[in-house]
Amino acid sequence: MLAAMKRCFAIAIVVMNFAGLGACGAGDDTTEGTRAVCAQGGALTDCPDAERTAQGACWRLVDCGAISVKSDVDNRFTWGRCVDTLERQTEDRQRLVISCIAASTCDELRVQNSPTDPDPNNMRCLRLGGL
Amino acid sequence: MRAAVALGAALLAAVASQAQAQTGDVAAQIKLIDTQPADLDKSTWKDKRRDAARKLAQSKDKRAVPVLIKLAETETFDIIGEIAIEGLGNLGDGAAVPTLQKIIADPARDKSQRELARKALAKLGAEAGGAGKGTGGTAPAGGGGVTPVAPVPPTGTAGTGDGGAGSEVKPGNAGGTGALGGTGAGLLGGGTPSSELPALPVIDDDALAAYERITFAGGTANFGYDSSRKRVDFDADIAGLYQKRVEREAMAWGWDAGAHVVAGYINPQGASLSRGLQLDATANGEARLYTGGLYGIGRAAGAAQLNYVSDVDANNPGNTLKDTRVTADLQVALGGGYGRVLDVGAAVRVRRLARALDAARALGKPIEAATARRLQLTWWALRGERSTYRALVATVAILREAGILLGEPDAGLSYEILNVLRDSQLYLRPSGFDANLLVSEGYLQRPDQPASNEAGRVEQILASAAYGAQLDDDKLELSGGGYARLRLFAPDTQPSPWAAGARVRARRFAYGDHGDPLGAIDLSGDLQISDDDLMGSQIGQRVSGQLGFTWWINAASGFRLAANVGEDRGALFIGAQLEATYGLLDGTFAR
Repeated sequence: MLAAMKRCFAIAIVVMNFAGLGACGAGDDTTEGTRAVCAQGGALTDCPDAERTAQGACWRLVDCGAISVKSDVDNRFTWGRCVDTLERQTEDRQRLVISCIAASTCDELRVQNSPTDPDPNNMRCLRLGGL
Repeated sequence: MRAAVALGAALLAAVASQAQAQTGDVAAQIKLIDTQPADLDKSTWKDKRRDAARKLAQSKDKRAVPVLIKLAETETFDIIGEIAIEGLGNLGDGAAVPTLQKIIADPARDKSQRELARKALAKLGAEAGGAGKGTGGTAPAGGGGVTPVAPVPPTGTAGTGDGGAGSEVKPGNAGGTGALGGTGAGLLGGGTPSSELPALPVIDDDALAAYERITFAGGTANFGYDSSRKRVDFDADIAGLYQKRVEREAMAWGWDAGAHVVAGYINPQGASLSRGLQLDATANGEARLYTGGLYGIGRAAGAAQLNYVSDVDANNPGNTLKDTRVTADLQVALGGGYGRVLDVGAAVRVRRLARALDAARALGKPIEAATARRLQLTWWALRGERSTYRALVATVAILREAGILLGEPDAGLSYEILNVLRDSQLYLRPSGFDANLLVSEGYLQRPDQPASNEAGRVEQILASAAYGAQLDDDKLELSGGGYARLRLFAPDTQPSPWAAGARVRARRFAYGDHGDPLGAIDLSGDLQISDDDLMGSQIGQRVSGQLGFTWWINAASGFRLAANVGEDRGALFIGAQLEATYGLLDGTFAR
């Protein structure tokens, strides 16, 4: 019992440490998010298939370091705005954008100033859907 | 003189006694073949029955002839049938000629049985064919008049249904020895003998596992036009992947190649127009050399992407984008590791099959390695079939030939075997432990604009680990994996990102009384940590988990309930999904 409690305590400390590490970073209140296995490293690091939904496609953009999870700075193109943008599109455009993101490598999805302040007009898959 | 008479009398008595004993033996052998003694279990009786048939074949007793004829005609999947065919040749009775000719002419018979019948017929001095000669019936030994026998159709509509030897009725299954319950060339056994199966894939004898997968993901393909808006739209998302891998004791190798195409064209009324093409091609190869559990590993990967996009913005011509990008990767990696993880789905299917037979009291003996291999390769060979019919017939034939399946399966057991063959929960079932560490060198071709953080020569360390276990009669699966990567020797203008992650998953599968897959509960958890190593970038960590419950109410209805929670550096995401498919359960009648 005591050993189990010690183990839980140790895990809690590790989690808190990770949170502490995350606290230092960008100057503004932007949460960049975490990279997936395939974000860097070329063809040797395979990506699992992205979920074919608006949320899934936007998570792929976060996984690849193309956009941030959230930001307190107005008009930043973050995960939330990405989902809103895709869900506002007509069905055919949305389908096209989601398919394009799922088929792209991470390097193709990143644009200038990714992930903190990307311009969606430079994101080719979004443009394919006629952003 | 007196002594000589006494000796002669004794010899006569001995000969008479032996003849009487033989007569008694023949009757006993015939009885043993026809009826299972109460004190013998099925498996022992099957063995003794074969011995009895051998003795009858050597007895030179005419009473053995009709018994062996019956065995030769009906026992198509037990070795006793072949013993009988051979014995009919030894007994030298012409009454066996029509039966032997029928066997020779029967394409549904195993090739070895037909060859034995041909030899037996030669011993009797009769011909195999002889079309047009004779009038049927029993031809005398050595006679030339024989009856042409029409080939037996490969698919019977009912078993012989004599309920004789080997017929097994599962308690609780109505019908007894019905259409599927007869012995010999029954509905299942008579369909496709194993000798007529498609060519089996060639797998080395020391292969531990192998797979060949062809995945074609049709994705979506849509085209639309309406005259009201004068709008044309088209989009397509098509992907194909080929994978092959062989695991042997001393080495393992595998490769895969795939392509993915996404194309779109949206042309609304006016000057606006969006069109584009995304084309990806990838190829990977891996080879391992094992010494015990340790191995050296080499990997190579190549990829190329073409991306074309044209988006004409009618409202803001300055925002129009027309561009084509090409990227390419070529990488190799060398390293070492320990262990291996195999996909044991096909082996689990064999184990489930054995359990189904055992529960139905139809398992004559355990499924040994040779038969398990033959079953798996047969399923592999038949994987492209739309119907499971041939797989079912072949499975029954192989099990009968091997003496594993006692008797033709009845309707209930046939259904349970079919459920095992169709069980979609048996794909991608990992087993084992594997960990490796590689150092890679590669060249990444990237466009100049926008400048990529990864271009030119890229070196990195890659580590990965995987684990899988099938527990509790293969109804519980535990699996997990981890990865880590770090870029090495990056030039000053480029970062050295790193990332690590781990995933654990448990799946519990549920089955009904007759092997129907009922659903599964799955629980998974993920932990990821990464650093882009960019100016002002953050170390990210994400923890996420999912609990899912899938339940198929019946063949037409089911639902899935899933809940997931994720936390990515303070941002919390909680979701739940309920997907339900309800089919109408129709009861209909028409006259």
